[in-house]
Amino acid sequence: MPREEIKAKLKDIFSSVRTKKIDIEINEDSELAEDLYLDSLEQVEMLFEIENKFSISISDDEAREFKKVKDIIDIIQVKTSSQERAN
Amino acid sequence: MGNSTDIRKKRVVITGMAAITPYGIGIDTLWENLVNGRSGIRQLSGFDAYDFPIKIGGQLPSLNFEEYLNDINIRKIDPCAVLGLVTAGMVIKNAGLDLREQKNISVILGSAFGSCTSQEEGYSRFFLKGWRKGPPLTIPKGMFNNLASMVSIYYKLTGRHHVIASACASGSAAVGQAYQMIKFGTEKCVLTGGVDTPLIPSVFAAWTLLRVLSRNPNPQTACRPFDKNRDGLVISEGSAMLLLEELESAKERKAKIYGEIIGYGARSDAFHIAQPNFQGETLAIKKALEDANLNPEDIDYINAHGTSTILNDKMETKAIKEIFKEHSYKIPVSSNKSMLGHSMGASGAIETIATVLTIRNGIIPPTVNYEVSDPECDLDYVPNSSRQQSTKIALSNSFAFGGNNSVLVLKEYEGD
Repeated sequence: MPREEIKAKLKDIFSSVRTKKIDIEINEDSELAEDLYLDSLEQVEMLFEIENKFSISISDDEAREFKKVKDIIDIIQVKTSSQERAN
Repeated sequence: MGNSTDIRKKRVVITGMAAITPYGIGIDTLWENLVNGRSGIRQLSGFDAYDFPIKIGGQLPSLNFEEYLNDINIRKIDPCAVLGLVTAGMVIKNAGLDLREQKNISVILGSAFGSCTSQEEGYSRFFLKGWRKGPPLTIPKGMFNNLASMVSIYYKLTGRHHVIASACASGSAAVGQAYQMIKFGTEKCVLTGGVDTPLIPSVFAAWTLLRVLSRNPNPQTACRPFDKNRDGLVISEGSAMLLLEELESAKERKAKIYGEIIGYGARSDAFHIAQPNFQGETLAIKKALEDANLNPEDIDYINAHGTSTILNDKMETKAIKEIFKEHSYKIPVSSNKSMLGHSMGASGAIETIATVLTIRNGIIPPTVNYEVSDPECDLDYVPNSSRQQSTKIALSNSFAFGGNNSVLVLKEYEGD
């Protein structure tokens, strides 16, 4: 899946899990907490939504490495491409 | 040397009030409908998928809460907390509090069902789809203290915060706890009241199975406290909050004072989990009068618990007669629930506000649908029409499952 497509989907997920209403531009270097104002609970819900929307599974160890948007895009690309190969 | 038991008791005044009821938003709306004897009960919407034999309740009208909470996504918050956040904002505004200067405010709220919507959603997804399908935030959204915690967090109130769960007396018990905290000097300012959103399918089903809901299909006439043909309660949702302050602190900031709380009595039936008992209710009324240092003859009006169940209304009448003896026939007793239904943990707080307004306006709201007298309920229930009558001191009764009895004594504020 192209990175831009993943990023667009992530933007919707970030908006849907964030309690505060704020409109933020995202780029691959945006930090989840600092730049996107996602608190720890919102990040838990974000993981849940990512797993559902992309039909992948993210382990706790993998989740702990997520700091920036690009970290998430990287892992989604890896996991969705391995799924595509398996199909 | 001072006596350690000589606690200097503070006077506790009400400096803010707000309510969201089946009538809509605000205490003016609440009062205008109550004094005109209008019912807030309606056909339930959103329950079409279920074959419940009962289809009425005190549902809130369609309200746009986003107008009040425009900086947050309210779909992320449990409906009980949303209702609490909006009401808290209204009471803070009504009390003229400047939260930039005053943050040391406690939040003591009552609820019988708390975040039941989030719990229902969590359990239904668990049973229908399996544990992996979430929702992932059921714990923080569904925990019972969510209501008071969200109010504390959103408005940055740094006093203590708790949710009091005393079933249908929760709102009254919260006000009582808040009153005692100020009276005994541990807090100066407490935001208190009750919020409940029990009109969700799983809770409504459970109440239906308990066989205590009225089977009368007519929304206007189903709830008929103290009437011989009463056949059960009508469930509602709602929210009401008051700001309680220590008198000196209220005067210092030149707050408008709506009334004073001068007594609180909470006693247990120690008898049965659901069946009311007049002896525990009697103890609570007695305790409240003692706390207020009053004689039974000093009471001008009783805002009844008056649920419209056969047993509650009979037991409440018996308890009043036990305490007030012959004077009980001279005291007007009326039930706001005859018009609003039973908003569970919110009802005690709504009725506290209604009682304050009764005292301030010199008008007693009626008990509507009172048509046939019951020999076991033979007091003056202010039937069907409101009554102009000066009231200086009143009781507000709340009696709940578990044998929780909570009685507040409210008084006109007369200054020093």
